[in-house]
Amino acid sequence: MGTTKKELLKMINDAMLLEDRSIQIYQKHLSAAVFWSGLTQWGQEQLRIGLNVLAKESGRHMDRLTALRSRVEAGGKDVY
Amino acid sequence: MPELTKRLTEGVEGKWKAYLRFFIAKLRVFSLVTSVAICLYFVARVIILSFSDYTPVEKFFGLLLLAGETFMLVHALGYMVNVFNLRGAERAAPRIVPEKGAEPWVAVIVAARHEPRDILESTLITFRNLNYPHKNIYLLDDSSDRRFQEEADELGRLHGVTVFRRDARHGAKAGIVNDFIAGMGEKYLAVFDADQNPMPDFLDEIIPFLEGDPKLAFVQTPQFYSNIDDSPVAMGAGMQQAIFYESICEGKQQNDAMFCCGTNVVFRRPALVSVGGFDEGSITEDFATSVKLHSAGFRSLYYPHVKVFGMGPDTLPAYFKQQARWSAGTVSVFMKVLALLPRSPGALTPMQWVEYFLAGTYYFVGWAFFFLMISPIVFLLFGIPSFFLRPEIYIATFVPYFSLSLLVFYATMHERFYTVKQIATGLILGSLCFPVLMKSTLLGAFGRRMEFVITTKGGRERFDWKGLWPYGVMLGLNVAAIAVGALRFRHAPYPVGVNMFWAAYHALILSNIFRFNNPDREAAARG
Repeated sequence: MGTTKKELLKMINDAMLLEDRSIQIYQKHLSAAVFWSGLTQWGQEQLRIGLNVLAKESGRHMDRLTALRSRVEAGGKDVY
Repeated sequence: MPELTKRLTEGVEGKWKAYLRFFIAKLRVFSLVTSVAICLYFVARVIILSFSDYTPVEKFFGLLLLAGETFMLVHALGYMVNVFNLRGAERAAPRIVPEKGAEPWVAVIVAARHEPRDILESTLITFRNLNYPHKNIYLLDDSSDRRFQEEADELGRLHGVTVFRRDARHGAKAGIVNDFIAGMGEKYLAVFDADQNPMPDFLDEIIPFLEGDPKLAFVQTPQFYSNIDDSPVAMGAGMQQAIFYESICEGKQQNDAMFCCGTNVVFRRPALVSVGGFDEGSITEDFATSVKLHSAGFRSLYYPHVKVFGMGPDTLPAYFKQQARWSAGTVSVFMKVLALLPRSPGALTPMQWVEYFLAGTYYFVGWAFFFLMISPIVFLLFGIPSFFLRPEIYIATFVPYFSLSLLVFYATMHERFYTVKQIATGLILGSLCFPVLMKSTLLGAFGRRMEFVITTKGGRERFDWKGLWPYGVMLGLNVAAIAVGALRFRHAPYPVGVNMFWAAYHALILSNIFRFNNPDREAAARG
């Protein structure tokens, strides 16, 4: 019961799509929540910095997924 | 950690901190005192108008002002009752967390008609990200345009979402949802608008409430606009949502009278089916369906935590269209609720009747604002006194009512960290809606809808300045009234001064129309 190359590539593409879009969506919403939080400018800035760090981390996930996709595409195996 | 908390919040409150803290701590007492002040002022107003020696014309304008003030007083009293109740003992709603693997199935739906692909895709992505395991996602596509239908099909394929369509159109959004409900197999139905994005734990939080109470028909959660930076209109609309979904909805929950707001809500399917599904005869099907469910003995719950983020109107035309739709729909349902009262007074509890009365009449605020606005004008320009209170009675009745109401309102918003500027933006935008609300409530009472003439500048909608003539007329009249008042001031400083103050206040509110109608974001923000 393995996963075919085609299925695996579809799953990787799907994960990339979700990761890429989800972070943008949640980051915008959470930034607005920070605005209404009642925290000081300093506090709000700290949270925004935290959110940006998370977004950058997500970028690293994307790099890994992109590398994995290239590896699977280039590989000769059809069942994983 | 306490040091960090202190640093995060320091400077939030200024020099009035101690007074305000005391006021907030005693808010229950102050809401009661304010309620008494509201009643006293109302009695004083009615007595003075009834026993005054006015001409018929003066009496007419006096009655208009009294009608406007009565509206404000009744709704202020409703707010005070909410504040009083919220400070009482909290009632915890029963919750049953389903066992892992035995979670009931939920249909997560978004009904869309000609929605931009990008917005719809974001919503579908957040549906997919919901942690809840037993969910089926459906896109209820009601588009008639082939291009949008193809986009919906493509999104369905890309995200593994089932696209549902109907054969014959009836009843707008309510109609397609009803057609969907007829064939659905899931126990619960989570409903979202196309631009509303739930957080991953949304269903994990809500389903236990529905599992814990079999008479619970639906759980409503707040709407929260994330696009507040887009324009002053978006900021004002977001602020209005905050006022509604915080103190007002929490108060309705205390009275078991929370109604459905159309999105960010989870329904129990059998409850919906038992009342015949969504009411297709109303453009605010959510409000109409809530009345049906409550009168059938079902309960509702308001979950007062933001679990869904969305987009609010960011231009004046978009905001006015939203308000016109809501007001016309609410008024048409209110007429039906009024007709239900003599036929079945026991259908709702007394407090549910009160809450539906307050919600159903809210949009008449446009008329109330108009009546309040014309009174200083007719007094200053034509010498027609709408009513006259001697200074000592004015100070003894109006000043306590007005200042305490403002203070209680400000305190309830301040304790949730809203600033004066933010609150003012929301209130001014709401006041500027008065011509739209006057027309839409009138049309709504006869089951009709409003049309708008809109132009576009730089890709963003705005009203043509000629279309804003009611603001120009009212602004001109207020300025003229202030000018005439300045000439008459030394002859009667007290009545002229009070009316000049109100004319200036109204002129200030009206002048904001230029800022809100400016589609240039930067210029609008600077203004």
